[in-house]
Amino acid sequence: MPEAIHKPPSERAQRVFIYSVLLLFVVYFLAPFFVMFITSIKTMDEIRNGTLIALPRQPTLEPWLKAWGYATIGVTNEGIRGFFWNSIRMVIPAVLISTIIGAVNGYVLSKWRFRGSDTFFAMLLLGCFIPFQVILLPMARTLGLLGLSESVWGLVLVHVVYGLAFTTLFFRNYYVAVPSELVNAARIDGAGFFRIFWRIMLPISTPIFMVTIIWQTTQIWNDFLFGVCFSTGETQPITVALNNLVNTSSAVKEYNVDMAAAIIAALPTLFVYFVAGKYFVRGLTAGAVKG
Amino acid sequence: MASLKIQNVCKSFGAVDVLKGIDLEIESGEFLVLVGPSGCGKSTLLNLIAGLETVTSGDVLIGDRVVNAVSPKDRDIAMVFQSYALYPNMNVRKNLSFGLETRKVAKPEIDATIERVAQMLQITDLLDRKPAQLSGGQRQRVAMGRALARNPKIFLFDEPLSNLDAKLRVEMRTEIKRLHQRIHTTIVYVTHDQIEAMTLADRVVVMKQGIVQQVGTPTEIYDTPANTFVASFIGSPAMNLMQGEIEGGTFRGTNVEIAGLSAADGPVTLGFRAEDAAVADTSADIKAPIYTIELLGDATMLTVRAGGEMVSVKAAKDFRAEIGDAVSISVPVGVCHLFDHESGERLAS
Ligand SMILES: Nc1ncnc2c1ncn2[C@@H]1O[C@H](COP(=O)(O)OP(=O)(O)OP(=O)(O)O)[C@@H](O)[C@H]1O
Ligand SMILES: [Mg+2]
Repeated sequence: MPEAIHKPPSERAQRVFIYSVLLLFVVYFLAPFFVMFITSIKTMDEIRNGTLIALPRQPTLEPWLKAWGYATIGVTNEGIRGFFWNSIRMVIPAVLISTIIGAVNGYVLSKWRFRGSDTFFAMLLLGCFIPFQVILLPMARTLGLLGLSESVWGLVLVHVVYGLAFTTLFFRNYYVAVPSELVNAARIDGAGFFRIFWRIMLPISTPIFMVTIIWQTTQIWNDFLFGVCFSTGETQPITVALNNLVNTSSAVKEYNVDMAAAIIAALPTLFVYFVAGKYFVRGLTAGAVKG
Repeated sequence: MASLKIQNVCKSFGAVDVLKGIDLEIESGEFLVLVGPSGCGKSTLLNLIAGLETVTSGDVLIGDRVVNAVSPKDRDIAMVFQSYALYPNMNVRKNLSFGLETRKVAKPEIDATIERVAQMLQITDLLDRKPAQLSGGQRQRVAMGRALARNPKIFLFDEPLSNLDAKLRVEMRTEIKRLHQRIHTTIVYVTHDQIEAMTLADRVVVMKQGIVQQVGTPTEIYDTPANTFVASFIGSPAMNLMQGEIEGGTFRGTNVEIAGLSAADGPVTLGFRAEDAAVADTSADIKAPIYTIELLGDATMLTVRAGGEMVSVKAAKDFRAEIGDAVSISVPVGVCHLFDHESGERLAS
């Protein structure tokens, strides 16, 4: 609407109110991050002497370099660098595998129904509600039997299995809204199960892929419990390393280093949101209004 | 080319019986048109023939082979879907070529086929567009093209022209007719358009609530409808149906008295077509005030109340009268159809 159109005063008052509330929320949500960030570029002296929200007088990158490269974590002095890569090495295969299997599952459960497929789907959904803690012991035993204990691939397996319920749910609900006639037409055109998936379904699945990838990346990257239970020392993901960094007993608590490490640990998920976030919103509503 | 047999086919979706014992024999090269009210199971029947749904009981035979368990791709049929079902991610050209590529047709042959089909359906300019960028009628022609690009044993068409404007529809109808005369592929064709049914069909099947009411040539269906349902479904306007009693060869009802019928005494339904009756000065069989009057251009359509129903009669195009004027109508015995007054079945005459 062009600005020139005059709004009645009551409407303007409403606007002002709405934007004030929104602004309040923005401040509320961004404040912690702001404090983290300014703390991470202060020296320890400044932190001790200043207040929490005081801006740094002599900004320094030193805490970041230390957190990344030479902070003491457990028994090593190599920062969180190695653990960061551990997480990357875990997240990429886990996200890809769980997303691809979820897509095929969703395709089958919506377009190639079989006797009992709805029951099957209902049971799979139950998987979304199983708390992490419940599967810790059985999973530990399973990983042991498979010889994957305390390896990155063990973690990948755990996350794939745990994520399947969600990825299947996403894709199934997305594909249910795709008219079955498309599949029927392709069947008459002579295409089989995988050709239809590849040529007809996948090309229209970008939004739901984005949603699933964002969801899985965030979940798996941020996971702490599986990481702490199923990995040790060198193979730990960054969340566990961050915890260890903060808890490593040293003479002084280096808040600036802790904050820098925490921000580094959060960067990849932020990055994914900024790159693919618009698809996230679009994908979540795509099923609602079919176009 | 192949014959097609539907033997006692039933189809239920859960507790809903959609098809209730369909029996049809379609000869190789025949053009069969399916008509019936919305929801009577026409699309379901096509899906069963195509193999997209499985029969609940009964057999579908293509040639002499029972195909109940054969998958759609091995039945060698092509189908136009009521909802078009164009692949949204592919442009028109890809939509047309997808089936050919899947069946490993050589590239030059695919190009030639697309060229030919696109020209016939007047979609050459649209080949590089996506389905979302097409109008309803254009999509429908692409859907048609996708089927015509193949050379199957049987074509299944589910209301393929329903979204076209009148002119294009006539053109396409002629085009389909010519195509059939040229290649003589067996065709099963669903339509709501009476003229399409009459002009295209070798035989017409009239269905109602999952049951076949009558199978016959267009003339048979039109001239000797098997029951009141067919009589009132085929033809535009529908056949007039009046309630009354026969007594000594004379049919009597409100405002109507037709003598000289050879039928047993008792209540009957008497039907005749609007164009078979005439406004008359003498020998009036129906006498009633005019209820409505419509100028059609080539004729004038009158309606009056008779035999407990609205009855339409076609009068000359220069016929003029006021609503409420009394009018006399002659209905020759020869054009009357008698139906059982309860079951609606045609009475032998
Ligand atoms: N998958 C399904 N599950 C349940 N009922 C169905 C299903 N498909 C069709 N039906 C029902 O079967 C009946 C026949 O449907 P069908 O699509 O064959 O009708 P139609 O004759 O093609 O109608 P129209 O002329 O409107 O296209 C309808 O009552 C419909 O609701
Ligand atoms: Mg239909």
